[in-house]
Amino acid sequence: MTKRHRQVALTILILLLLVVGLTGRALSTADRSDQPRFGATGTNHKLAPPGPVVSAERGSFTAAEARAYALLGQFDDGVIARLPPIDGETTEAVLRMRPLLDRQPLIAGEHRPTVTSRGTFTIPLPQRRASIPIVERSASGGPTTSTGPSPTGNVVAVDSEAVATHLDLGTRTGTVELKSDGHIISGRNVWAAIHAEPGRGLPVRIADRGEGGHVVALFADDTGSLRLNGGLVVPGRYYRIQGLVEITGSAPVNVHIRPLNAVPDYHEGPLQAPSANG
Amino acid sequence: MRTYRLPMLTAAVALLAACGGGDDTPAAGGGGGTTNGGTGSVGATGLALYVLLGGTTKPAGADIYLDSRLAKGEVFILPKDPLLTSHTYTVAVAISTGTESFNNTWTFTTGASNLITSQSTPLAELNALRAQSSSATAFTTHAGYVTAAVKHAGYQSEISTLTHGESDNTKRFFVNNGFDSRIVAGCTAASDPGTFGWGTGINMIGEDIASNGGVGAVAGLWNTVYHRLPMMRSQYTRLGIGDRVDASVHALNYVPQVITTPTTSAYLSIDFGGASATAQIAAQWPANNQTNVYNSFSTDSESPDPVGGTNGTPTDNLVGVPIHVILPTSNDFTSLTITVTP
Repeated sequence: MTKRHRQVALTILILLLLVVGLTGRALSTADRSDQPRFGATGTNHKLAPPGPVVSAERGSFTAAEARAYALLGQFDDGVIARLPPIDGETTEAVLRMRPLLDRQPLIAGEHRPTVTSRGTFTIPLPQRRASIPIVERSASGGPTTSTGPSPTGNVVAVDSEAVATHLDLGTRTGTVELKSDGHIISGRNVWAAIHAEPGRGLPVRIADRGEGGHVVALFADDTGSLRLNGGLVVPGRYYRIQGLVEITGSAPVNVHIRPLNAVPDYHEGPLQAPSANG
Repeated sequence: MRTYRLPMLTAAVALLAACGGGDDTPAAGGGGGTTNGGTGSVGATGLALYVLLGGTTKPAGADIYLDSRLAKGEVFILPKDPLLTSHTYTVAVAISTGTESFNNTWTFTTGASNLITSQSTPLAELNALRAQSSSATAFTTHAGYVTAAVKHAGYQSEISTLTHGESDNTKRFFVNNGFDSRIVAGCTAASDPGTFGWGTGINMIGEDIASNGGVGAVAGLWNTVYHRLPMMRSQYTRLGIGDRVDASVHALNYVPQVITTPTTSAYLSIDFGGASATAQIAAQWPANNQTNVYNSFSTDSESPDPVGGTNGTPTDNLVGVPIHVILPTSNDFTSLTITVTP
């Protein structure tokens, strides 16, 4: 037996002993019916050899994790003063989701008012409770280097003052049309709100074929099933539409479409579950 | 006196065929509705106003009322007194949802008389008003909806009564007592039932009726609150229009005719179809610098009455032209300031 094989066998033995200790049952080679199973659901009890992942499947978040993520984000954003009464599963999920939320970078937006023929629409700087890391925009609109945490309660944007760059009153804004396969954004500076429910509009599919970029903010009666491209969102935060987005859920949802240049900050995408080896 | 019946906006969830689910019942929230801690100011300068809002909560302030028939983001501004004719007014609106702000100031000029029309057909008049309001898709007619509307106009002409129902199945133009079933019948005949029987892609319907006909009736329906809703909302995109004149030339009006050329009531009927997930976009009416705008509205002529006490408002009758604003949001308003100044 090589040294490597001895190491693997020793590790397996340790794991077996740990499981026996946790379950309180002894291994019996004579009767394997009560042999405890170890390892997380979906994984093999044998350690996989080191090396590249042959196949990887994206995991998924539970409803409790989705609710916890949403509540934590809303608390950080000052939308809620405190976490509401939540069940035990969601409470446990809060601990797991906290670091994941903390590691989701927010990108500073241009934060410009949108001047249209039907008014001027603006998004004030959010009064966040917690310091949230902000990254500056690159020329392509994506994140670059981190500037570190923002001052408590405020987001540091690239443009600290909202300056309208298009003072052409009567500027035609773009449109968002509902086609048979989803919503299509055309033109620029689109502000729109979509209401969808199971059986009436859900899932919502939005393709941005416009100019300048657009984002979505989601609001739901129940965030447990709410997903953006399969990932988690904080209600009210802005998420960039990179080509096409799909919003799913089993409860009514409201979707706000906004111009990318109007928001003070945004996420490039939702929180996706880590990949799991099959 | 013209009477405008409530548009019945029915959700498309499977077997809910009853009209209304709340649309033809009194609006909840006597006393103005639930406040959310924000502040509102209407008519602090200029004209005294009633302001009706959609939503679940509203900013505190006099003359601000939640109306369950309005969607979040929708606002109706009613001057408490009729406007002067041939006069220019300035509207200033500043609204916040707490996370977004919407500000607009614009002017319009009333006409020398009320209800001035500009087009030659009801559909053209309706689409002209809709285009003044927003960039929402213009209405197009659908054969099934035309059938439903024309036949219902014919039924009302037969019984000489303005009504959304059809209780007398002996009448030649009778289809069904429920307007939703009438639309189903029309769409079936047009070989376009769709998922809910209302045509492909359609999951919401509505109906407006008026005692008169033609373009004047369209103007009269627009010059209301609740009957304007299906006409202004971007979710509605198709319709059918009919009145006594249309019914009089319908095949059902064979000899001996049951409908004659109108001398009085024409019973304009409009059936609307839409998709609820269509995006809500910014709108306002009158448009900036619009001329020949209506100047007054008799709230008692609309049923239900938007200023009749059931939505917390006091009882009033003759007010100024209803001004509407639609904002692209699904959130409640947390603050608002609205003025209309001559």
